Formats: sequence, structure tokens, C-alpha cells
Amino acid sequence: MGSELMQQIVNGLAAGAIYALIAVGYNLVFGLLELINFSHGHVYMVGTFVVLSLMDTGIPFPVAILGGLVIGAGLGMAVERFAYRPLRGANRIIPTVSAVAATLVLENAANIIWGPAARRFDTPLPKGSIEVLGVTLTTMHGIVFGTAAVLAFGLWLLVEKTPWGRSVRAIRDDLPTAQLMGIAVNRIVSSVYALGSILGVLAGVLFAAYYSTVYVGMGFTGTLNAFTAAVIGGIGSIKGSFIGGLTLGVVQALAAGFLSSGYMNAITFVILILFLIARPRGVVGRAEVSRA
Amino acid sequence: MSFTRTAATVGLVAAASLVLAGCSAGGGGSDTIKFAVAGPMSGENAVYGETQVNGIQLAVDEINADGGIDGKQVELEMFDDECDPTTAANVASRIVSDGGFEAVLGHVCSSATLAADPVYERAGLSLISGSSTSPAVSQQGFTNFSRTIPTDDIQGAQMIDFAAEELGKSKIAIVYASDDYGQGLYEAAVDQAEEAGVDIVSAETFVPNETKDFSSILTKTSASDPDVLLLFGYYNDMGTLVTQISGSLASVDKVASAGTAQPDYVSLGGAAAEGTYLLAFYDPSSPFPANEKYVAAYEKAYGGEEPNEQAAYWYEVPYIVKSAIEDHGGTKETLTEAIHATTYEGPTGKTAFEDDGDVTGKTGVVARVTDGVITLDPELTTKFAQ
Amino acid sequence: MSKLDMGKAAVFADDGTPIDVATSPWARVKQVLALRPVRITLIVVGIVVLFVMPVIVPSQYIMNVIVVCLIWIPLSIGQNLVTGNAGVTVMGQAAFYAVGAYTAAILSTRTEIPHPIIFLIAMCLAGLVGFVISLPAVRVSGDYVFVVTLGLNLIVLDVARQWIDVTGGAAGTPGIPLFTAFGWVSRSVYDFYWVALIVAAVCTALAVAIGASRYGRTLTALREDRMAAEASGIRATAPRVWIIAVSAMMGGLAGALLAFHLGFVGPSSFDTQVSLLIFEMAIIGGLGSVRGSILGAVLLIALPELLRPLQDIRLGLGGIIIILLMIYRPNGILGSSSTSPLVK
Repeated sequence: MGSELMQQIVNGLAAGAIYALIAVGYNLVFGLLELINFSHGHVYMVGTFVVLSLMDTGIPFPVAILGGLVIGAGLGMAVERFAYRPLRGANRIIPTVSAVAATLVLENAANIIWGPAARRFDTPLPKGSIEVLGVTLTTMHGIVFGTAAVLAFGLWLLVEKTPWGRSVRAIRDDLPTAQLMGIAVNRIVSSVYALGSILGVLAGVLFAAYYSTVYVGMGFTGTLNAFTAAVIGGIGSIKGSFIGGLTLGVVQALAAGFLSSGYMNAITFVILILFLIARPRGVVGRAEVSRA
Repeated sequence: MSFTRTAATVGLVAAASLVLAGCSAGGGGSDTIKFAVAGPMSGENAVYGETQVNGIQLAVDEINADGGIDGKQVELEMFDDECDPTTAANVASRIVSDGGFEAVLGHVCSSATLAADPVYERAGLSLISGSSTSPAVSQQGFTNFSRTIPTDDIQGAQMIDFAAEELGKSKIAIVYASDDYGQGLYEAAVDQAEEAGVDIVSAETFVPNETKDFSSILTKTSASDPDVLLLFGYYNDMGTLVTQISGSLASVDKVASAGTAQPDYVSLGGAAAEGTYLLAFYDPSSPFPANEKYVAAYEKAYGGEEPNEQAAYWYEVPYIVKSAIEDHGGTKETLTEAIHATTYEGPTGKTAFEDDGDVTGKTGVVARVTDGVITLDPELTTKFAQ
Repeated sequence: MSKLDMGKAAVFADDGTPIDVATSPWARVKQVLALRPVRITLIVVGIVVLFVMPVIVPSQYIMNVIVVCLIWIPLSIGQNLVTGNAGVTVMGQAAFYAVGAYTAAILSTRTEIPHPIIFLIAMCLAGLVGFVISLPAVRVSGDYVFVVTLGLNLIVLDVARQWIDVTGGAAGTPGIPLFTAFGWVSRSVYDFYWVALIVAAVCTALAVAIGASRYGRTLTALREDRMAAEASGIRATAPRVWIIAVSAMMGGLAGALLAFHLGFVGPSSFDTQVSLLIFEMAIIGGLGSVRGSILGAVLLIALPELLRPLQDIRLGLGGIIIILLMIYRPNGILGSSSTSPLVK
């Protein structure tokens, strides 16, 4: 029982680390524009499929990942350029509707290109496992945790220690003033979409390798789980993404393991709704984020 | 908004309806006999539909080359139910509204059959299936239903017997799909386990085509320390599931139901699928007299592809219908009765029917994933058949 | 013109001059008579066509398509009331659709309750679920509503799949009897047309009435500028709660129609794709436009049904059209000049 509990927690942390990486993509964009980038989960799904298709043609795994990242980043920027930017400043319902429409386009396109059936995602990553105190730790667990930690640290460096990060923070604090100060807002926003998409595709590859499968439905699953993670941690906060992601992963694994795996979605969303009502700014939400 | 707009709306709907009404559907000639084929032609379970159509088409081509049914050439029209009950009910109302079909050869998934058959029954159309195995179908009391394949009641019990007697296991773990296929097998297995005196130490369920993360299910299963793992479900879910098995569970024997016995189970599952026992009701190397000729014809027609259980059972369906019409005087109205009176010797052995439309007298086969190929185990099959 | 006034001017004559919104039914009839004869002819022809439809439609298949369209109309209209008129991005219409359908399926297969009453129960239960979910939904800020309601959709789907004793699980509930009312039995799709037509017509009329009412203008004012509306004494919560409940009731009615039409109810009719499709069909014809919602249902249901190749790409094609629409014509294909401009 004790080791089963520990095992479920480890499984949950791995899923949670992946949610966190997707959630960062939401939070970066939300921090800047206070706009929820609904299509983010779909960019992550499409990028992962691209990696799979590249591997199918015989391209080595690391190069295929690079290709997926480039396409994912381009897609993220394209969605921003065509579906969101023309609508900046319109009534809020308008960009929201167009954001949803963009996800539908991506979902449909993916269904046509790759089909609705799940595909096997086989990587040359080492397979193996060790047993620690009755808990099985696989190499995939290690790779997921390691990648998430490295990316979290790199992201922190990027936002806090580089000129680019300073511009992002300036826009986040006050967009009109940042514009007056000569910051190229459109370029920075575009690059934030690209960065979010890159993290998303990396998360997608981890997801696909961890569960050894890739399928179109992971777009929505990703959107919903990562968004819930973002809300739990505090929307707009990068640190919050990680806290929220890991919390959600563990809660889901425990709920599935000890309550019912069939009701996992229901449990997730009850948590989400409770958080939205009781603690709308999440665990580490920024106080200044408050919008009607 | 105003009344003006309501009025314009009325006009709009009316105009749209007129456009729709402009198109009309055609009918069939009298020197042909038309059958509707319903199954999953697209979506996650399209593989089943493909083998269904392959089997039926091969038989119909042979029948047509041989003079047809009662001198009439057989025509087929395919309908895609995506293995989804709602789509199946929709498809059924399309088939019924066409009015030109003699009978329906379908559906594949039991849920689809359950949803669609009331529509056919109301319209007086017969339905014959070569793969809907849920016991629930014949328990509905449909008066227009027949099937040529044994039910999950039989397979579920067989799987417990196989694990207990042939493999000598006593701590059984089950993972099953939450639809009627998985549930039917599971319920039959529970009854049989009690009779055979073996323990079901864990039973976990998942949503077919939805669940991709099996880690909590597998962790729970592993914690119950089983010595055999029974898999009740479809090849695509099971292919993903086995790749996520790790730790001590990896060395436990796996026994899977017929829905898993597809080559794609091996291509999805990779090395993790190796060694899985697969219980089914047909194998290409079955010893029945009609089988050899059938396998040769099938391989010739489909570029060397080996026929599986699905294809074999569906291949027999047009022949059974032919015999019901020619030898037992079946008409559109009396076809189901005529089918139930028919006996037929085919590649899967002898087919005869009970009053509720279920088949009798079939024997199972045991195959195993060996070096990435699903291969019949003749020794286990013979031992098991006794 | 202030923002609130813009929401008020709802009726224009054909020459573009605004007509005051009439309050009494008789005054409305007079307004209609004041319109050009061409339009009146169109209306009369439309109504006549709706009435003789079962006689002029030659094939059951086409009749089937028409009935399926009629089933989607309450869903589309309900969605647009909430999203178009009130500006709340609800994305879980399939949840209410499911509640209505399962209620009808379970009651009609296990009880002797008369079918018209079952329609009312399905409507009320769906409305109740809508009411309950609207309480958190209107409290959380704008974009979150999308996720909360999509979450509701997933919760309902989990219940439909897992609560096997009641819903039948993944296998669904088959064997729903033919619709019967006051001794009349709907034996074919030609009969069922009348049932679907009545439900769709009632929902359409209700939506038009809401749009033209003071309540409808309150919603529009809230959509346009919540702060200004609240400053002028409009309460923000109650109108939104009610509109979500009304829209859910329409979803429930559509669900009951589906149950009796198919004779079967299963979870796959209500997955998130269905919610997205409803969202699309409501918006594609224009935010807040009832005509648009109906056109959307025809465009995304009937057209792909008749032209099979369209079926695979309808979701994406609809998405592209909507993005273009949001950029160039946010009031929709049929969005009239009377709707206040959404882009400031």
C-alpha cells in the first residue's frame, strides 16, 4: 500500500511536469496580453505529430525534435499574427471566438493529415527501470523530471536575466508605456508565442515518449489539463505553472488510483471550478492581475 | 431582433429545405439483389471495417461469378458507423429510408448493433452479424437478428479456463474496456472464476479510444500482485496499454481476447506485446476442409494478406444468406427465420443457429505473439479444444 | 449615441430608417404590414412550405436530414443567446443536450410518463443544470467561462460513460419507444417532423422575443461594456444566469428530440467536438443573430450530410470562416446593421 501510494505519486509528478511545461505557454501569453491562447494545446499536438512524421522518414530523433520545434514555433507565431493580432483592442468576445476557431482549424487539419487513430511513438531513448523502496522508476521518469527542471531554470534565466526578459516584463507591467519607451511590442509578443510553442512541443514529445503514443485528442486534453494547472498555480505566473502542474498531476494520479479512473476528468474540473471560485488568483497569482 | 427577422428566418429555412428537397435518392433494379454493409469504415476502428468488407466482398465476388443468389447478381452498398452507436443509429435510419435493401450485413461493434437493430426491426429488415459478440444483443429479444460468431459469455469463460487450467495460474488480474464488449467478457469471467475456484485479484476498466494514460490502472493492478493479466478489449487500446507496463508486472503472462488479435496490436505494442496469448475463434491454419481454399482465395485477392477472424466470419455471411434464400425459401420478410434454419460448413467450421439467433458449436483457437507475428499454437489449441 | 442606446435600436425598415420597437403584439403586426409586399410574400411562402414539407419532400433520406437540422436549431439558437447576445463564451452546450437526451431515454424506457411531459422534464432538468453551472460561470472572469463550461461537458460525459446502471455506459441506452402524444404515434420521420418543427419554432420565437425585449437589451449592454452598464444601474449577474439557464433548456429540448428521433442515446453524441460544432454554427451566421444561428445549423449539418466530402473538413472550414468573420465582419454573414458594432 505504501509503495503503491508512492508509485502513484511518482506517476502523477511525471504527468504534472509535462502539464507544467504546457501551462508555461499559457502563462507567458496571459502575462503579456491577458488573453488565453486556446490554440496552444493544439500547437503542442501538431508539433509532436511533426516530430513523429519526420522520424517516419528516417530522420534521427534529435533532428526530428528540432524540426517539430521550428514548425511549432512558426505555427504559434502564425496563429498570433492572423487570428489574434488583428483583433487586439476589439471587444473581448471577438478574440476569444477567433482563438477558439483557430483551435478548430488545427484540430481538423491534424485529423485530416494524421487521422483519428492513435499512433505509436517509439524513440531511441534508453528503456530501463530501477526499483527503489518498492517504487519502479523508469528512465522515462528521469528524462521527464530532468528536462522539466532544466527548462524551468532556463526559462527563469531568460525572463529575469536577459534584455529580452526585461522587455517582456516591461510589456507585462504596462503595455502602452512599453510601446512609448520604444519596445517593439509586436516582435516581443510574437517571440513569446514562439517560445511558448517551443516549450509546448517539447512537452508534447515528452508526453508521447512517456506514454509511447501520439493522437489528435491530446490537443484538447493538453489544453484542459495545462489550463487547469495554470489556474491552480496562478494564471500569469511562471512559477505557478510548475506548482499547479505538479499538484494537478499528483491529484489526478491519486484520484485515479484510489477513487476511480473513470471519473478523472470530472474530478479535475471540480477542482478547477472550486479554485476559480475560492482562489481565482491561484497559489502564487500576481496581485495586479485582476480583470472583469 | 423583431418579428421581421422571424419571418425572414421562416423564409430562409423554407428555402433551404426546398433546395434539399430538390435532390432525391435512386433505387435498385429487379435483376439484382442489394445488401447494406454496415461497419466502421473510418475512425479508430476502421481496421475492423476493412476486414469485414474484404471478407464480404470476396464471398460476393465468388457468388456473382457463380450466378448470384437465385439468379440475381448481388450488389453491396457500404455504410460507415465509425463503431459508434449514435452514428450507427443514424446509418440505420438511412438504410431503412432507402427501402431497396434485402438485408443488412453488420454491424461490427456490439454497441453499434444494439443501437441500430431496433430501427431495422421496426422496418422489417433482417440483420446478420459476423462480429458483434456481446451477449446483450441476443438478450434484447430482437426478432430480426442472427450472428455467426460465439458470444463474449463463451469467450470470457474460456479465458478464465485457459489461464487456470492451461497456464496453471490462480491470481488473475483483469483490465477491460468499459463498453459492452469489455463488460460482457468481464461479467462472464467473474462467473467462471467462481466456478473454477480462482481469484480475481484486481479488475480495472478504461474508456476505449479515450484513455491513453494507463499508469494508475497498471500501478493498481501491479499492487495486487497477480500471476496472469487478462486483457478484454480492442487492439489499439491494448497496444498502447502494454507499452506502459513496467516493473514486476512486465514479467506476468498476458492473455488477450479476440478483439486484440490484430496485427496492429503488435505494431502498436512492439516488444511489449511479445508473448501475449490471444484467444479467438478462427486461425488461418485451422483444419476445416473449406478453410484452405478460402485462405488461398483471400491471399490472392488481397495481395498476400492473411485472413483473420473478422474476415473469415464475414466471408461466410453472404453464403449463409444465399443458402437461406435458395434452400430455405427466405424472402425479405422471412429471411431471419430462414437463416436460423440454415446450417453451413465454412472456413470457421460448422455454423448452426439457436432460436435467439446465436450460433452453436464453435471451437476456440489459441495464438501467441512470437517474434512480432501472431502465430497459432497448435498444441495449446488441441489441448484447449478438449 | 451612447453604448446603451446603440443596443436599443433593434428594428430598421427596408430603407434603413429606424422603427421604434413596438411593445404590444398588435403594434408588431402593424409593423409587419408596413413592410414591403415582397417580404410579406416571402414570409407567407416560407410558412406554407414548412407546412406542406412532408408532402413535397420525396425521399425519407432528405426528410431525415431536415429533421436532424431542426434538432440542431434549438442548440444553435441557445448557444447564440448566451454567446452572441450576452457575450459569455459558454462552450458546453453538449452537456445540456446530453442531460435532455438521457432524461428522455431513461424516462421513456423505464416509466410510463407521457412523452410530452418527458419533454418538459428534460427541458427543466437541463435548465437546472444550466442554472447551477451558471453560478460559478458568471462569477469567474470572461475567458475562464470557456473552460468551466467545457469542464461541465467533460463531467457530464464521465457520468454518461461511467454510471452504467443508469445511462448504460459506453453502450448507451437503446430501445427508446416511438414518440406518442394524445393517442397519436410518430411512426416515421415524416411524422416526427412535426414534433421537431414545433420545438424548433418555439425556441426560435422565444429567442426572437428575448432579443427584442428589454431583457435582451440589458444583456447587450452588459456585453458591450459591463462597467458602464453596471454604473447605469444594471445588475450584471442575474441576467446572465437566466440566459444560460434558458439556453440550457433549449439544449435539453434538443436532447429529447434526439432521443426520440434516433431511438438510442449514447455518450458519443455529446463529446466536446459537439460543443465546438454548436459554438461554430451559432457564431458563423453572426453574433446575436437568430437567422444566423439557423443558417449555421443548415450550413454545418445539412450541407455536409448531403455533400459527404465536406463532412471531414467542416470543423476546420467553419473555423477559418469564423476567424475571417471576426476580423472583417464580426456581426456575421447575416449580421444586420441593427446590431451594435462590436469592434470599438
